[in-house]
Amino acid sequence: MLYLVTPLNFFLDSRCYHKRVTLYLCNFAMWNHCLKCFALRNINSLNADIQVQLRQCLLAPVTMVNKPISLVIERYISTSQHLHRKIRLMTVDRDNVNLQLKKQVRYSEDYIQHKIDEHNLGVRRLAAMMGEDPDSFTNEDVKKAIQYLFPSSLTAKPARPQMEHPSVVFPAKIKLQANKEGRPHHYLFYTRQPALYGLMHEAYDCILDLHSYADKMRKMGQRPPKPLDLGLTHWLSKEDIEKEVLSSKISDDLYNQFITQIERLVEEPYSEKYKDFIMKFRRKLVQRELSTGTLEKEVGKDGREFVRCQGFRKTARADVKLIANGSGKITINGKPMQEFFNIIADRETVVTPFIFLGILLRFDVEATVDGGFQGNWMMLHGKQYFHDGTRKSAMAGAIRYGISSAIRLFISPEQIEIMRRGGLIDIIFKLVC
Amino acid sequence: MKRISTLCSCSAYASAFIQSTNSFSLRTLTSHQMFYFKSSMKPLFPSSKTQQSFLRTVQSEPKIQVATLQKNTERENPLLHSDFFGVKSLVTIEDLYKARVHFGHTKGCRNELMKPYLFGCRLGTDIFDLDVTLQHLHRALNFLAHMAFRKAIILFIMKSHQHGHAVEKLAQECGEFAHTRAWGHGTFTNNKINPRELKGGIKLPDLCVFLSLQDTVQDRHLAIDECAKVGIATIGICDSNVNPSIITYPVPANDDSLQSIELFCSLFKKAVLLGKEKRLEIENSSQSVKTADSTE
Repeated sequence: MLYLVTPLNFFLDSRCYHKRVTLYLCNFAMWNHCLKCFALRNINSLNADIQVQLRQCLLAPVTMVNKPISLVIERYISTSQHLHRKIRLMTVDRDNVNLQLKKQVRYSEDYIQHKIDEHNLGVRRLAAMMGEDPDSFTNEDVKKAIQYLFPSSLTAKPARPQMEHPSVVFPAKIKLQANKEGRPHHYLFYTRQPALYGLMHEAYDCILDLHSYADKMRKMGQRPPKPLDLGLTHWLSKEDIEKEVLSSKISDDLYNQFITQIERLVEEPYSEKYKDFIMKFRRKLVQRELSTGTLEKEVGKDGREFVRCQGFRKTARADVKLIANGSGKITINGKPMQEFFNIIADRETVVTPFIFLGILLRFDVEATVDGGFQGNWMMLHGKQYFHDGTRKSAMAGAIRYGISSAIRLFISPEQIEIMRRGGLIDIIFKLVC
Repeated sequence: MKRISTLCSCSAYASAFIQSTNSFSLRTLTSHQMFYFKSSMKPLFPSSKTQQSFLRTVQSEPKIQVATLQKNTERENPLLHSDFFGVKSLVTIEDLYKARVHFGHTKGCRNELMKPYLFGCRLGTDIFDLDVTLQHLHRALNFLAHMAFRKAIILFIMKSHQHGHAVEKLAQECGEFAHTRAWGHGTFTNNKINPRELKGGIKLPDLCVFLSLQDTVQDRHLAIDECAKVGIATIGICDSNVNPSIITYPVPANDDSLQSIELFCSLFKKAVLLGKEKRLEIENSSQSVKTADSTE
């Protein structure tokens, strides 16, 4: 009895950091129980390091009877309680080192495939329930069916009954960025944007290679070739890069840096060697169709082709008839343009599409227009004008829009694109000035 | 708290290493210095007094007994060897001179803390004492090789538009890591920025090698302070206009010339590869011993 009690007294002395202390638990269950309670009651007076290990020993079931359970104080750091608490939390943290791995194992590929099969079967059954064809039962139909079968007035949408595909429910596999020892795979990991900076590094590698190649060619006496033609393409936008190339968002600054780096590569002579690399970051220019409807060429009585089109600007509406093989005559509401539009600025507006494309005297225009402001500008704005007359800028703008939409049928796609960039086609309809 | 947990056994090793190597003996300064400069050149301070006092402070530190971390009765402990990886044969003073390592910045840019490392000032330009530089470089390379031997994560840092590419290439060839871009404030210290990356899995670097302590021409690199806060050992090439005080292994040298940066890149690469080679050697030999035992 006495022999058993004395080692415990050692524990109560919190100054004994470096001593190896052993606690013997005997056979008798009652005695064990008493000892445990006694130790636990006094545990808070000990330092944290010993506490953890003592707890682990005492709270474990007493299966290893007659075996001495020794508590070894392994590491002496300091006497501060605060630091001891930190160390205890550190040791707990270390045990969770493979947390990422554990998470991944939970959603193994077989498990997810099983879930996908279940989902597909469920969708077919749902279709049968609703009396629809299971093969053509789309995701939208599934949503509607669930809403019908399980009506819910819950305000929070995620709380409502749902039937989503497993790829939405289970998060995509988090790519392990490090091996078991905690060493990252990518050599630029600590920059926090390894993929992007890796690409910039590659681009600079290409630039250096082209420098040495150009030097060689220059020594041989060869002239540099024409600059690289990238065709009707544009750089990937920031959103595209975030989705396709990287998995994370980037700042505008970083995006601009990236594009300038690749533009530098494009500017190098002989950059055709790395055209494949460059074109990864280019997209084709998409020709946007107008919402004014389909236009068709018609043939008139004198055999000349013409196109009817509508144009608008502010509240003005114009019906424009553009006739090919003309001589540059423009008639508006039955009158020649010079009579209808007093002010030269309005006439210039009407003629702008022709000047832009360099085809001034090739077409005839017959237009009827109405709407827009029809009062006296001078009176309204109270300004002094050097000419007499009324400004009809809305009507002029409407006719211009009509002409530029109609003229698309007579010119090439590249020229249409150039007109679009000039702001003649894509016009946002403003009701109010 | 959790930041401290990411220090691996390497940093304990590092601190032991740092303590053990303070006991080497310095070479006395000879007329080597005069070999490179004209006799009319005056040193910055009368060489005898302050240099000798500097020597005295280093020599007077007592030898510290280091507990053996690696119990190998067959093989010698690498920590107790003065030059286990043969790093001192990698570079000579002549190599440093040819690579223009001795050129500092102008007198006006000088940081007073760099005075002990300067030999003098010639036509307004500070000149480093290459004997001192070589000693520091040997220490740094030795430490680097030891860390690579112990599979440390080494991060090479240089924020320079000119030399960034070379440093990234160096890291690729070594199998280590590089950061030559704008430093994100709180990369090491901010747990909220990097919750996924650094929690439960990925470690912070064990050693940061700065090929230049400057961020831009004006500012000090933010990573130096972050390393000190988090407890990461550092090697740094200190030019005459920087403050070398927090760096664990400063190397007073030129960080602006292309040739000097190229020289340092090649030296660091060699040191790291030497460490890794030794590691492989030892692992292979131990494996062969094991297989021999099993067959017997």
